[in-house]
Amino acid sequence: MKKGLALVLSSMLALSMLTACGGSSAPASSAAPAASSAPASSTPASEPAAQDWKPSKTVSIVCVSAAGGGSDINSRAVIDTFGKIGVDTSFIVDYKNDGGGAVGWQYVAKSTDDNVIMCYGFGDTINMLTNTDFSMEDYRGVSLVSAEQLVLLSTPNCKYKDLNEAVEAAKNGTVVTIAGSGGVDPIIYNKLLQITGLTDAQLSYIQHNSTGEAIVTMLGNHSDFVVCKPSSCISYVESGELVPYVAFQKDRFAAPLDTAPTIAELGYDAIEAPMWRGFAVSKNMPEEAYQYYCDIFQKLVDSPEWTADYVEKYAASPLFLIGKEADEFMRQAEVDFNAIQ
Amino acid sequence: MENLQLLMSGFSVLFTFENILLSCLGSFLGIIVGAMPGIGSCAGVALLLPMTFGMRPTGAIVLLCSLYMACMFGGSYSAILLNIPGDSPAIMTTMDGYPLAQQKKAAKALLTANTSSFFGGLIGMLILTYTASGLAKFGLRFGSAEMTVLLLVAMTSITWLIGENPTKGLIATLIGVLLTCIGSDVINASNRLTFGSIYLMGGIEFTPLVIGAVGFSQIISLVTEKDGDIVSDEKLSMRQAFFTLHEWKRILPPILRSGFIGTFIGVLPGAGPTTASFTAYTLQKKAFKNEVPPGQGAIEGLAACEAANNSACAGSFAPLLALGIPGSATSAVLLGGLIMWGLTPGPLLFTNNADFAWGCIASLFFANLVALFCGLLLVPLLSKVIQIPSKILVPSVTAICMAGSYSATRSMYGVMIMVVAGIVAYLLVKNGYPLAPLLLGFVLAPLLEKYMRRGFATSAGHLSIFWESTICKICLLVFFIIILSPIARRVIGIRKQKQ
Repeated sequence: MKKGLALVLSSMLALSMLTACGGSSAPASSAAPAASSAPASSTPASEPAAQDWKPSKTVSIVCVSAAGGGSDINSRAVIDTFGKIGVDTSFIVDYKNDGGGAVGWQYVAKSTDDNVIMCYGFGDTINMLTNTDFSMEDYRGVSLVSAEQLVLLSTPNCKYKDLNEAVEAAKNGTVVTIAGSGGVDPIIYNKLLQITGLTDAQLSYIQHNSTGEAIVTMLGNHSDFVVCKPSSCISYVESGELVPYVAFQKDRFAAPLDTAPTIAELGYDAIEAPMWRGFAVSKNMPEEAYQYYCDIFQKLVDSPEWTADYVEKYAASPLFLIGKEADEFMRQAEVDFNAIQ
Repeated sequence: MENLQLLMSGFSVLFTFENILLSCLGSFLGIIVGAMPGIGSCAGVALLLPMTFGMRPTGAIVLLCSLYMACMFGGSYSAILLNIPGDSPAIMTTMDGYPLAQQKKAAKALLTANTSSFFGGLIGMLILTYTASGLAKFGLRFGSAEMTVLLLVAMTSITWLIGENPTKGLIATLIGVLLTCIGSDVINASNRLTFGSIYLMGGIEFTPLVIGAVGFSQIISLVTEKDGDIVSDEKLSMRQAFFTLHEWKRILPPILRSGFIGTFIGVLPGAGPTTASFTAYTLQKKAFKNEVPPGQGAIEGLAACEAANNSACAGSFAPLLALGIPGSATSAVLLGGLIMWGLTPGPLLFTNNADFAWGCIASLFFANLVALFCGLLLVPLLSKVIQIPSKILVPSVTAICMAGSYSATRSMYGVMIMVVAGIVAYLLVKNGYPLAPLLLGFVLAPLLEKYMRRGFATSAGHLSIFWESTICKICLLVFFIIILSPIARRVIGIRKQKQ
């Protein structure tokens, strides 16, 4: 009886593997027809492509952050879009977040393989330069695929009606707190201190491990404000749990964040700290392989799928740079960051 | 009542042929993943997540939630049979589960674990069904100050695990706390005690530490103290394992208590099934009656920790579904999945994607049942493990420990931690130092540091933040009662003697 039942269960499980693998959208490892030649680019990026070269093995996208985070989502969205636009290469996300990401950076820096690329954003730049000896001297930028600016929010029962009132209260002795995570959030906080003339004792920053934790602190009213990217907070603004207070960019955000004035509208110098995301490879990568990756990322950023499925969906900005321009941008970001340290 | 109707609609979403098979598959895989040391629910969900991108969101969440729930069942099997916790929530399962196996009661232990997991999970899911939003909002009330004071209360429970020699117990606790100092500072990210190693920058990984300290040290002990003996020649069968009425009366109260405790701990930021199982076990050990001393095969202790870790798993879904905030590491990975499936996690998920949200909750109920069923069927099969002689078991389990440690860190760093932890733990235990306070200190100390420092950052250094809110005041009161009650009892005892 038990053997028979076990056999029936096993058969059902085996059958479920067939049904579970069904789905309508293209899988991450695309087997679609060969990609068409790259369209003309409005951002001249690199030398003519080595169109004959393709990776002979699955390409690993090294992600130094934990699964489920922004880098992971970005990497998976890239893989998904590659599948939709017909890039005929298999990709996997390879998590190497030991040592705060240092193991992953070392792995890519020392790699001589042509199938290893790295998801690399401004948050990684900050952590890398702060905690390790690695820098863009060890890598070569391939692409920038998006950028997100920051927004300051609070709950509907915040005691300050705007940032100016909070600054005034801070100058009069009340400690005002801002919750945020690592990466670019402390950068905008430091810039805010500079333009408001406050000290860190008057305007205190509460560091969290992730934006999610910072939002939890805010939702529980354990902080006066929270700073984060629009993608992290849009759902809370739509539900009324959070109210946007300041947009840290030149223009106002689109709805539902459009009620937040820009920092310039409040009478301060304009400040911003864009969280750009891109991809890089080891400086040891062969030139033809580097050109191949530049080509496919050019296809990615030119595609309407990427703009619709990622950039617009996550309220990001279309900061698209490929090849040499991306590399120079990443190096300049390092120089700028070191200058403010 | 309305929530019950919505749950029924969730079941109608769940009960399609495809979703039922996916739930069965997820439950089966979850038991295997949970039983394999070093993998755990977080890695299991992360590995399976890419395969779900082509699926419908409801089917995908059914598969992954079933896996997550079933992992809590599977983690207890290797803990009971091999003294190696399959995942970190199963650490406390080894305390009474393995001694039961050594007493030729492995079947009883497995059935206790399965039954407690089922009822604990059921309690958590019922609370989730009726109060998901309220539960999540309750969790939000715990800010840095509240969590600090609550963790201080939790730290006092270490005294209940110290054992007969308080000095050695304290030393073991401090070793656990010292290990958490290695790595990057939680607030300013500066390196502490890393000695220039990029691996140590991330600190000591918990999973290989546990596998080494609990499992590998056990292997060393088997090699040095036994010589090819069969661990147990008990032939397991369901009939032997069935509970008597008296045994039901022993395990039901801890299951009910731990089910509630685990659910509320699962909701708290930063806590999860591991903290829940520790808390429930120490509470059962110290505050409630146990027919057999805990640590010597008390089914009450086993029931408490297994019920708590399953209910915490359910509880962690409350902030995820109601607010889009992950309540545990695994639910953080699920959050990424929600986004990739085209959903918007947040307060409007129940409104905009009610089918998905209630289908997810319904799948937890179903997975709980399937995992129990699979677990009960596996009991006779699992009997073969404890019949394996040590000379075969030792290399096999060593290989499992190494594979688990490697998979936890994807590098030999994890294996090195496991080996070193195993050797050190073996020496500590041999010289009378208990391991439980070391592990509890390792779990709680980094949380306490993080929240305390955030609390000071919020208050600009003022201590008053730690007694401002009502929750802080209540927790502080409990803390002082726990700290002062032994002193008060002693003073009262001395006075009575004098009289």
